[in-house]
Amino acid sequence: MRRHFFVVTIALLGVVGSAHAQSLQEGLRLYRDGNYEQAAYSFYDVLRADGDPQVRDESEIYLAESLRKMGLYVPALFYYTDVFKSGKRNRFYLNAAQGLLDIQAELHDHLIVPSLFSEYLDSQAFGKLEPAKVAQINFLLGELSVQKNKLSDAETFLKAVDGSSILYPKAQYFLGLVYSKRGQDDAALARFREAVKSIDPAHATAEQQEVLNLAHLALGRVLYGAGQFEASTQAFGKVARLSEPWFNALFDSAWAYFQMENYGAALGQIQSISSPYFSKRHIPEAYVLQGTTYFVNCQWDRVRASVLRYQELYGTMEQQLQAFLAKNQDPSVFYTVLTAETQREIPLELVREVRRTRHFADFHHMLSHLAWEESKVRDIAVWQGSDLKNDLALIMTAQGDQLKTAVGSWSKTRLAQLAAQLQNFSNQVNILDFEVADAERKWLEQGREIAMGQRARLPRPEIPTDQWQHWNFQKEFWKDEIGYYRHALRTECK
Amino acid sequence: MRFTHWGLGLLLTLSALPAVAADDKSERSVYSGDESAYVVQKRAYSKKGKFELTPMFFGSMNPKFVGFVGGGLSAAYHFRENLAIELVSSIPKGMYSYYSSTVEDLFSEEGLHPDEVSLKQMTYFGGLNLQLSALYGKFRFSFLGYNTLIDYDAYVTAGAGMAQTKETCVANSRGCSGLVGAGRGLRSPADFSDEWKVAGSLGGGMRFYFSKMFGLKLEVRDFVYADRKVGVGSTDTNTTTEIRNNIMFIFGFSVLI
Repeated sequence: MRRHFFVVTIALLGVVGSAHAQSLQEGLRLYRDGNYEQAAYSFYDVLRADGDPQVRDESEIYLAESLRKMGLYVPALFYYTDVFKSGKRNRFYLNAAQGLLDIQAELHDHLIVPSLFSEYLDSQAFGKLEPAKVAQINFLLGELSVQKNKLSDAETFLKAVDGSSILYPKAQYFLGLVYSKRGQDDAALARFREAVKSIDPAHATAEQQEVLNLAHLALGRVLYGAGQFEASTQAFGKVARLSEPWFNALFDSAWAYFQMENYGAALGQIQSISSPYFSKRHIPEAYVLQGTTYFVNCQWDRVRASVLRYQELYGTMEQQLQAFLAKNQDPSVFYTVLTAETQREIPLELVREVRRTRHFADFHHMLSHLAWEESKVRDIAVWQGSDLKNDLALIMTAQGDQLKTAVGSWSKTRLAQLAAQLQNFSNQVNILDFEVADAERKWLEQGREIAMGQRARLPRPEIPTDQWQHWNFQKEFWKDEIGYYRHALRTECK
Repeated sequence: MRFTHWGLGLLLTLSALPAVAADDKSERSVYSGDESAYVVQKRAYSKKGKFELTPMFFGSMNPKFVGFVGGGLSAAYHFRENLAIELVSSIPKGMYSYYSSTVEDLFSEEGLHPDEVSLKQMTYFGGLNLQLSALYGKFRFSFLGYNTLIDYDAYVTAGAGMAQTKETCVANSRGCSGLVGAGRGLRSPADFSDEWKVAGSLGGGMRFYFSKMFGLKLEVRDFVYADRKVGVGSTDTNTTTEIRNNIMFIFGFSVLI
């Protein structure tokens, strides 16, 4: 694509010559006046036709700037990239780097710009950028390295984000992930705690709040992995109610309570995550945990109820998903299916599970913005019928195709993971089903009763202090009570 | 709306407005009827260890002969979530008492008049009370698309205090005020014990909290004391007594600090 543009450009170089120098001045005047549509038109004209490379360089960077100011980030990205790739010999190299970083933030791009900086890394030149931009580059490269599982590189880049940067908490969080992936629990815990410490909840931005919650969640998970279940429940409990990671915190704490043999609390957390508030969540594992909890307490009828509900909700979901994955379709189809208003090919619960991820949301943001940009370019009157309009349309179409392929490939992988997980859960449920039948058989052989009648109501769990209140759960879900359910459970194994 | 008894954990659901019923189609939880499930929840608004200041307005609810309205202040300290000690006082000279229309009718049309003790007017009250918040609950408040959960508690209060009363007299005569109603004026009784008396207080109310600091209090309280009117002069030698129940409705703004 780019080659195509420059073939055109070079072909026109000798035709017009210095006559366009005046257009550059005109473009700069329009740019300063904020008339970016006309300015972009002039810069594009000079870029295509002027014989002086210096003038062309200046036109190109101003074209990119004009497009960025119009919100046309994808075409701007194209021209910034062109300047950036020409390296330090282009006097606008650092301007291009800065523009790329701005666009990265606007588009929530965690792939294109970071990959570009990774490929054309020039620490000496980047050092001349303002400290906030240097920190942004280090963070992006660190994040990209984590995604690529290059943990040493990631550690180096993320450590370079210093405490004065707004990205410092996030970098600490990612450093924690690096150490966690390496199995260095203590180091991971230290980084997650540092991430928490470096955020003032009262003055945190939305992104910092998210990092704070993720850091608490990660702390809980590392502590859980280290067998410190009590501490892990405390960390999970610090994840803000109603925040995006809260669901995971509730579910993970259910496992921690299970490990602590606090079965009433584990069942309470399961009740929370299966409440109507989380009705759009994918919760097959909840039934596995619930069935297992009842199983270890020898409550066979309740195990059967969990198994039955799992089979009702998820019995056919795996086959449906596997059938879709087996079609071997182009990756871009996955993005189309996942964002379709109505589709029947993938269960909606799984679609939501993929769409909910930050990765997908960021890609979707880029593609949605791109769609808006395409419509904007079509509507700009002064560009009607021009080569500029046609070229920008080509750039955006090509970029859109690439992005759809990228997000489609990622989504396909994610769906395959979900299919594998479902298969795993189905196996566990089948084992539970078998085990409960076996246990019932043994009880019958021992002359024990397996058909439980109505169980007597058990006393309420302990109330920590009088600053806590309690209610009987009477089959109504109140949003403010989610996370506070506790069951009273007595083992029936004896 | 739901509320529960503090000690017994009794839960009564009055209505299910804000909740989603467990048999809702979106319900995915496995919940058998004999499951012993509870909600153990930290209070949205805690009173323990806090002072509660309540500027308040009150008015009599049973003005058979004499009614009153006025302002006052209550200051309570909450030892526990469910137990508080409260000092309450009307604003001195901040009560307006009046004769009911019955009195006017009796005087003007029937040529009758009640016992004078019944016409004594309370001009001040104050006391020390113990509050027990036995019930708590919450409900959803919706107004023009605005929804919020409001926590409340119900309490009973009992204590003792002092009340100041004035007796009726012939308006503008010596020691008597100007006309206050029914052709009568008011004056302080000659005997200190006729003016100031020990009173008992018994009542109950509800607090509604909108935030960690602010709420509303609605209360009904009976301020009760034995009153008497000693006859003076040659023509009025009777001493009449009466147990006066001053049942008042109190509306206050509660501030927890």
